[in-house]
Order: sequence, then C-alpha cells, then structure tokens
Amino acid sequence: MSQKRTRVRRFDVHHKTTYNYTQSVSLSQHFMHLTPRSTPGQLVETSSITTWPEAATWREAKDFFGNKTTLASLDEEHLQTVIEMRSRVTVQPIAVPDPENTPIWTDIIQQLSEMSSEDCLRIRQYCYRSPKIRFNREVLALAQSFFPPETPILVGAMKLMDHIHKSFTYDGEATEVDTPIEDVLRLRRGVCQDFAHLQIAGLRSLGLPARYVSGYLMTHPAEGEMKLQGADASHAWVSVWVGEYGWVDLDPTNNLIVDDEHITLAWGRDYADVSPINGVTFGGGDHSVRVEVDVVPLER
Amino acid sequence: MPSQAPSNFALSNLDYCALDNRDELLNEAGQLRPHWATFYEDPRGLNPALAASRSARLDRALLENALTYAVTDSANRSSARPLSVDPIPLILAEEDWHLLSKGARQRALLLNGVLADLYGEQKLLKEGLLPPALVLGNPGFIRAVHGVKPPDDIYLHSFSMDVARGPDGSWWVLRDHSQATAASGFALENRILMGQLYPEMTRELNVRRLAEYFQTFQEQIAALSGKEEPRILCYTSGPNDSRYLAQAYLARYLGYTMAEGPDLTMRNGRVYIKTLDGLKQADVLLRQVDAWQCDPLELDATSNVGVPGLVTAVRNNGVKVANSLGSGLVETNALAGFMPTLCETVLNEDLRLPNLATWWCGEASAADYVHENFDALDIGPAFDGDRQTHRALLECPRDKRRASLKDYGDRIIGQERMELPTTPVQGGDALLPAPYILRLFVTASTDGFNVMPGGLVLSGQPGRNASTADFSPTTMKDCWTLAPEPEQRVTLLPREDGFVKIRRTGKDLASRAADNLFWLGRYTERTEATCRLMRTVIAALTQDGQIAADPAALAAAALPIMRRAGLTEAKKGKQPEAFPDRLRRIAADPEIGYALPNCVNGVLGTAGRIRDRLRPPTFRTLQRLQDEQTRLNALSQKQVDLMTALPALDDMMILLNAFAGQAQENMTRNSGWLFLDMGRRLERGLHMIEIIAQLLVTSGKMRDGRLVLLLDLADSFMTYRSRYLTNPMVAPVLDLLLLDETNPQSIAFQLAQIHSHLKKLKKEPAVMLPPERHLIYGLLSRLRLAKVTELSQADKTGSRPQLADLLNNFQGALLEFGPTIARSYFSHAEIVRNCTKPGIQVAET
Repeated sequence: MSQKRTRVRRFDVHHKTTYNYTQSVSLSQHFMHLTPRSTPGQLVETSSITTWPEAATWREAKDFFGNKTTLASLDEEHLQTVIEMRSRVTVQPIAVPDPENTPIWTDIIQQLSEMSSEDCLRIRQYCYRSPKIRFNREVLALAQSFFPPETPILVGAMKLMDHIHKSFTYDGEATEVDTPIEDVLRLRRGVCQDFAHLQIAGLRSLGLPARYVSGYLMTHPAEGEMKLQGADASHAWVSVWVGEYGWVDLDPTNNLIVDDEHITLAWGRDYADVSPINGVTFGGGDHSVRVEVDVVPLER
Repeated sequence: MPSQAPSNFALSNLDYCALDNRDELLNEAGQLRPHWATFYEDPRGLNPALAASRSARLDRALLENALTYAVTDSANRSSARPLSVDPIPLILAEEDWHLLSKGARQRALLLNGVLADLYGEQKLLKEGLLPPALVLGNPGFIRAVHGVKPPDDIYLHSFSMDVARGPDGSWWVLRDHSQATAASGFALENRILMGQLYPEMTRELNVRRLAEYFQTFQEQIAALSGKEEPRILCYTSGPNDSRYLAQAYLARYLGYTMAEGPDLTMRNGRVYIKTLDGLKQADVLLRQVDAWQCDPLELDATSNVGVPGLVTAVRNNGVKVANSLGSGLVETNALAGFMPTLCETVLNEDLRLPNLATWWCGEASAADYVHENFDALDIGPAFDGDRQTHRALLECPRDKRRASLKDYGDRIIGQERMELPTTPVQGGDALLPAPYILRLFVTASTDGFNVMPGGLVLSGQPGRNASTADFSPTTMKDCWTLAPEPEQRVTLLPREDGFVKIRRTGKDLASRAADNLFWLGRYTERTEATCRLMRTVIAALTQDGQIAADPAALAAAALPIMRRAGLTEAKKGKQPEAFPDRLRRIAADPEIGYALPNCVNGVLGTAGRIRDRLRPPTFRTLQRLQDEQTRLNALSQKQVDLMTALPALDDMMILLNAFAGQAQENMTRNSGWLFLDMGRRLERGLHMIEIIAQLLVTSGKMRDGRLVLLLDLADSFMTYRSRYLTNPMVAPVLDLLLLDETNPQSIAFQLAQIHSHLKKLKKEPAVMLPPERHLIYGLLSRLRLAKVTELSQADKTGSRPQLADLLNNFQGALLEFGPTIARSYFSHAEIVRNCTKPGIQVAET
C-alpha cells in the first residue's frame, strides 16, 4: 500500500461566512483560526482575510499550537457581518509509510514516556483528555479491539478508522457543534467533526498521541454534473503520531489516508482549540449564519 | 497575661465538654490551654453569663451590616444555606501561629515559583520532576497565556489555603485557593464584628490587626499598573456567585468598583469599563472569575460572564489581571504528592507544611492503591475546574464508583480521611465543641509574601466529630493570634498631609449600575403604589377605612393594576374571579407580573446587583420587604381574612418610606442618585395618570366618593384639606394632582424633577435637545399651558374628552421615556451574544 507520490497540486480556497442580525450590532468581535498553515506537505502562497464592515482593529498572533490567529473588531453599527478568507495553497503530499512497517503501538507509548524534551512534550500533550475529548471504558474497549498486542500503530489506527466509517452514519442533523462523544457513540451518527473526535478519543484512551486537524476538502461533483459554487465545506480529520514517521493524517469520514485533496488550516487538541471563527456581538437580537466554501483546483 | 492556669481550675463552671482529647480550648488532660487563659478568665471574655447578650449584639451588628451568607460547600456547589457567624474566636497559640505563618509564606513562594516555571520554560516538566499529564492534560493550564510574563514574576497576588490539625497536633494542608480569594473579605468582616463584641479585649490581648495585611495587598495591586491613580476594578461574575457577598464587602473596603463581564469591553488591546461618561480604561482587574470563563473568544466560548478579548489585552500588556489568568493551575489537588520534591527543587528548602496524603490515579501505583483502599479514601477530581469529572462523580452512585475508576483515569485522586479537632462555638447559652478548618490568607508584597495574622475559621455541626471527607461548614469565626507586645496601628486611610486631587464625584458609574438604579427607583415606587392601593381598597371593602367609597369606585381605582396583572378578563367559560379573590392574587400570587411578590423581587434583584453602592442599613431596609411579603403570602389561602394584610402593607410602606428617606438624606447627588430618582418619578407619573384616568375621565357622577378616594391614593388628602374647606371638587383636585408643581405627588412635579435631573446629567449639545429631554420638556410645557377649567369640563355623557386626550398622550410619551433613556445612557450595557458556530460538515466523497 506504500505509494510515493510526487504530484503537486495547487488550489484556490475561498471561505465566506455571513452573519445576518435582526437588530443592529454596535460592535462585533471575531477570533479566527482562518489562515492555512504551512506544513511539510503544504505551502501557503498567499492568504488574506477581509471583513465587512471593515475591521477597526486587527490583531494577529500565534497560538500555543503554532497556528496563526486573527482577532478582528468591527465597531461600526452593522446588521450583517461578512468574513472572507482567500488563499492559494500548494499541496505536495509527503510519503506515507507502509502501515505494516510502522512501529508497534505499545513501543510508541514506551518511547514517549521515557523522554521529556521540548519536542517530546509537544507530542505528549496530545495524549490526554481535552475539553471536547472524553473517554471511558466503552471508548477504551472499542479502541482495544483494534489494537491487540504487537499491532503496528498505523494498522490499528486504520482499522479503527474503517470501523468508524462503516458503523457510523453521516448525518448533518443528528449532532451539534458541541455534541459530546458519548452521545455520538450512542447515536452512531454524526459529521466529520464527531468522527474525528471519536477516533481521537479512541487513540488517546490507549495513551497514543492524536490531534484534531481543521481544514478543507475538495469535493467532486456527481458524474456528469457541474461543480456547484460554494458547495465545498469546512472539514476535520485526525493526525496520529507514528514515531519516526512523524504525524500521519487520517480522514475517518472518508476512510482514507489524507493525500492531496485536503487543505490544512490549523491543528489542536480538539475542535475547541481551533474553531475557525469564534465571535461575539454586542446587541443584535437573533442572527442567522451562512457559510460558503470553494476549493478550486488550478491547472499547473 | 498569666502563663499558667490555676491548677485547681474548674472548667465545669463553663459547662464545656470536649468530644475527645483533640480540642483547641482543652488539652489532653481536660485542662485549659494556657493561651486561652486571659480570654477565659476575663469577665468580658468567654464568660457564659454573657452568652445571651453576646448573641444579641452579634445579631444586631449583622443586621447593621446587612450581612447574610452563602457558602460553597466542599463539592463546590453553591448553596443557599446561610453561614452564621460565631461570637467565639479561635485563639491560636504563638507556636502554632509561628509555624503556620512560615508555612503559608513558603507555600505561596513555592506555588508562585511553580507557576513561573510552568508558564515559562517548563523545566519542571523537561527535567521529569512533574509528569506531563499533570500539566498538559490539566484543564487549569491556560495555554493562551503561556509565555506571558506578569510584572515582577508575581502570578499569585493573593493566595489562600485551608489547613487542619491532624491527630498528633501537627498541621496539614487540605486545599489551595489560587484564583478568587475574596473570602479574605469575610475574615475582615468577622474581625470588625468581633471588634464590636469585644471592644477593649482585642486591644488588651494584643490581638494582631488585619489592617496592615489589606494595606499591603492594596499597595501591590495599585503598583501593578505603574500609574499614579490607577482604575482598579473587582471583576466578578455577579450576584449569582456564592462568593459575591465577600467580593462586594472587600471591594467596598478597598474602594474598588465592582464590574461584571458585560460591563467591560476590550478595544484595541486594552480593557474599558462602560460608564455613563463613556468608556474608561481599566488598569487592573482583581479577578474573581475562574480563568476558563474569562474570555469567550479565546477560552470557553460558552461563557457569558467573560470579557471578549481579555486574553488579547493581557498578552498586549493592556491590562493587569490579579491573580494572573493561569494561576488556577496550582489549585490542582493532584500536585499534593509532588510538593516536597517541588519545594526542594524550586526553593531549595524542606516543605514546612505537608499536604494531606493524596494519591493521584495518573500514576499506576497510586491508582492501584486507590482501587485497593477505595472505601477508606475520599475520592475527588484531580484537577480544579474539571467540571466534567466533577459532574460525573456526583452522578455516579457510590457503589458503582469503584468500578468506574477506570473511566476517569488520571482525572481522579484519593485522599486520606483525617478526623478534625474541635474548638468551642456558642450554641444557645452553652459552649459546644465543633469540628473546624482554618483558612489562611497570603498577599504578595514588595519583599515576597505576607501572611494575614489571623484567618477565617469554618466550623461544622457542633457536638459531632467530622473528618475532612464529610466536613461541611455551617458557621464562620474569627481567628486571633496574640502579639506579645502592643502593635502599632495601621489604617487604610491615606496620610492626612498627602496630596490628593479634590473631587466631588465618586467612583465611575457603570452603565449597568445606572440602569439598575433606574429600575430600583421604578420597582420601589411600583411596590409602594400597589401597597397603597391595596391598603385603601381593602380597608374600604371591610368597612374599616375612613373612606366611604362606593364599591364601583373602588373597583375602578383598582382596575389599572388588575388590568396589568391580566385579572380583568375571565378565563374561557368562567366567571371572572370575585374582586376580593383578585386582590388576594395581587398580594400573594408569584405568577403574576405586576403583583406584589414580583415587585418585591424586582426591588431585591436590582438592589442586589448594586450592593456595593448601597449603604448596609439601606440594603437591610429593602431586605426586610421580603419578611413583609412572606406575611402577605398567607393571603393565598382563602380562609385567611383579607383584613390581616393591612399591618404587613402598612409596614411595607413604612420600609419604602424609610428607603426613600435614606436615599434622599444619605446619597450624594451624583448621577447614580439622579437615575434612582428618575426611575421613581417616572413610575409615580405613570401611576398618577392611570388612577386619574380611571376615576375622572368617564364618570360624571361624583357622589360615590371617588374624589376622596383619588386624593387618598395620591397621598394628597391632607394637602387638599389644608387648602380648601369644601368637600373635594373636580377642578381643584385636578389642579393639585396634575398641574401643581409644588405638590410632590403631582404629575407636573414628576416631570419638572425629571427635567431638572436630565439637565444635570449631560452637557447640552449646541443645536438639538437630546431626545429624552425633548420628550419631557414637551410634556412639561403642555402642562404649564393647560387650563384646569377646560380639563375638568365634562360633556353631556359625563366624560371629560380633553382630560382623556391629555392623559392618553402623556401615558404614551412616558412609556416611551424608558427605552429612550436606555438608548441614550445604557447603550453600552447591551447584551453580549455568542455567535453561532458554523457547523463543520463535509459530505463523504
């Protein structure tokens, strides 16, 4: 299954979020994880965020996980907020190891527990419970069934992913942004974020480091149909620590190893660390929100 | 002071009997401990003959200070159970005090050092002295402020810890408090109460004073900003927090303005408080809100008590926060076992005060131990602020907890159960032994950390032993340490020859506080008007009143209130309720918006939110309304005679008058008072319009006593009588109640007052009157031009169209006044809403 890929693909990503308020808002503030991250497999050529009304103040920073954050304050009276991100990104997937050749999962735990260097701490922080990742005996039992002794880490992780993909139904209505993992387990339904959280919980319950990745996925129109504008969407998947091979990204929603159609925005312990837009308004009554995402592949 | 008690000492004259040999007053042999001797022997001290008068004086002092208590129990659940104050202090022996103060100081230094490392280089993790799970897996570790260095590396500006004496007499640490430490306000207030109970003894015994501690605290908080006159705010989550009372007490004592999250806003990297005069920059926030709730943008997005962008401001150095945002990390119970090693590493000293034995299940051997000794241990969450585990533990039935240990993993600790010693408390006329723990307070200072020479004693149910696991505080006490020699007095008052800018305005008036004052004015007036109406109507109905009004007139007078309460329409297919039954509803039905229970709730609710702005006696006056309301609630039972409501209604009106008098006499005429008074005037104006409209607009017949009734309801009967010898006539009554600006009950008076208040509030813009002034000025002018003869003219049907038109107009305009003033002055107090998070959804490819 080991494939060396040398393909390079370029994408234009456009992500537009529109909030409409029923009453005028005197101030709205938005904290964003909305700038794609440069990674070994991804080069960000250009990236910009614009707001309407124009932000009065603008602050950029790096968070604890190394993601770029942007805080925008919109202080004109407004009835609508529009936040638009445009980026041009080159994706060149790094080699994925042959799962059978990856380290035995218990060796990974053993190895990590013996080190406490800064780099090692940076990995170990993804081993624990976090605001959205809880686990109990049920999650542990589920994970253990795919990790008998002597299982190579990536083999186990992919079996767990396969299981989630096969026994859980994709359902945009079943869960909310803050549905806990216990409920997802019970419902056997959810969206990409729920599946990512569930897989992370499973891996961490064994003591393995796993992180949450927020980003985009290029979608393909059904055979013979035109690709619709704005039909792509935000996506989320999992990154698992594979020892000397580094982090390997798995997409439990689509049951695949991430290749050249995923674009990474940010990573953290779970959704709460890297939610793309976290906003508050002063005044404003009720509001509705609309999201449009386009991931457009460019000819080389 | 005598060092030894007489050998033939008979404690039986105290009738005090310790539960066992671990008591603070008596030693193992049942003899008085020497450091209690003076307090015991002095007739003004522990003297049992004084018990009754002591309790009475304490109750009185509590009333005067308007103090009632709410506590957080050991499981951090807020409870409404009041925590009473005990008149007997705990006296610590000098050797105990010596040990505790050194231990507390060391602990503050150590934990501050631990914070400096974990929010900086993290050597403790890199060198393997702390397991990474304890920090990186800890909800108390606030990643967003990692790398932010506070001034002078002080993370803990104040700190407190609970200690208890173990079986061998030595002291053990039960718990650290490193976030909100305003409980020191209770220690302060207990001491002030003790000063009233034992005025001479505290001096003669050389009880160490607390003032210096608070002065040090105040100085270092002020120094944080580096400004001459910093704006320091006590940042609280509001009156729903069980600690609010202590916070308000401390803020009032130290002169800080109370601010809730919605009062504050982050602009351009700085934090501002929204005041009536616009945004004012906040220099220091004395944080009483748990860190995770402090910023809905960068921390917990669901928080509604946070300041959006606070973390950004902290990183930008635009505001100082004390204690620092990340300081909650060292409240971690699981740290207990690591303290000796940490102390050796960080301070190069031995740990002076050990922790109660604690096993953290993040370590395999400890987890096994907890599993094997499950029943003997106190099981709790390992990390402070771990709400999930906390809730899960509470919900898990005790018999299933052992089996579910694995579910929580490293989120659980087991702790030794230690039997607590006892100390005497006063129970009625007797002294009883009660289990207790002691909370010590530490403040940062220029030379490290200073310990409060005393503390807060929490004691449990008297006459019963308790262990650390089942201890639940019922009472608080003062703690005395006795200096060998008299101390110098320190006061918080500044030097009298110092330089101070003269001012005539007080603290900033937050927009929210102004809003609450305005509503407090409205609610008190609304309550009073309802009381007056009920009293008049009930008295007349029961033939006891001096007013012989016709039942039709009475019903008409009560109509506006009935209508607002929704009691005029009959339910489908039913007769409307009988009039007296509807009166009962107004008096006692909590379900009805305009009925008295809700009016009183409105008063207490708004008053509670601005507690730091009301003097204790004023607050207490309002609190007593609740007692009267409780009496009125009996009316919900039909067998209770309506007449019995009269005394309670009278008392309620007396209390409201007392409140009005206190506001009139004791509040400076700042903008806060102006808003309170405008609220009152607005409500009174609206009420007058309604009763005049009900009684004078439609009825031509004046023989049913309604003019007298109207004068009585408007509290103007005496005024009328002093001016006119005749029985009431329409034109003079209207003049008195509508147009006469000298009658404090008239509509004209209310408008003139509001108009004059508005002029004082805002400088006039060059061209246009602001809308609220335009509105009031228009109404006032119309009244001044009105002719009473025309208004009182009735047509053939007996109604008064001109009066109807005017009143109708005025009612509409005054109802608009509330929203208008809100737009002009309270717009900063808008509700902060969290935006919906766009769902992350991508279909499977």
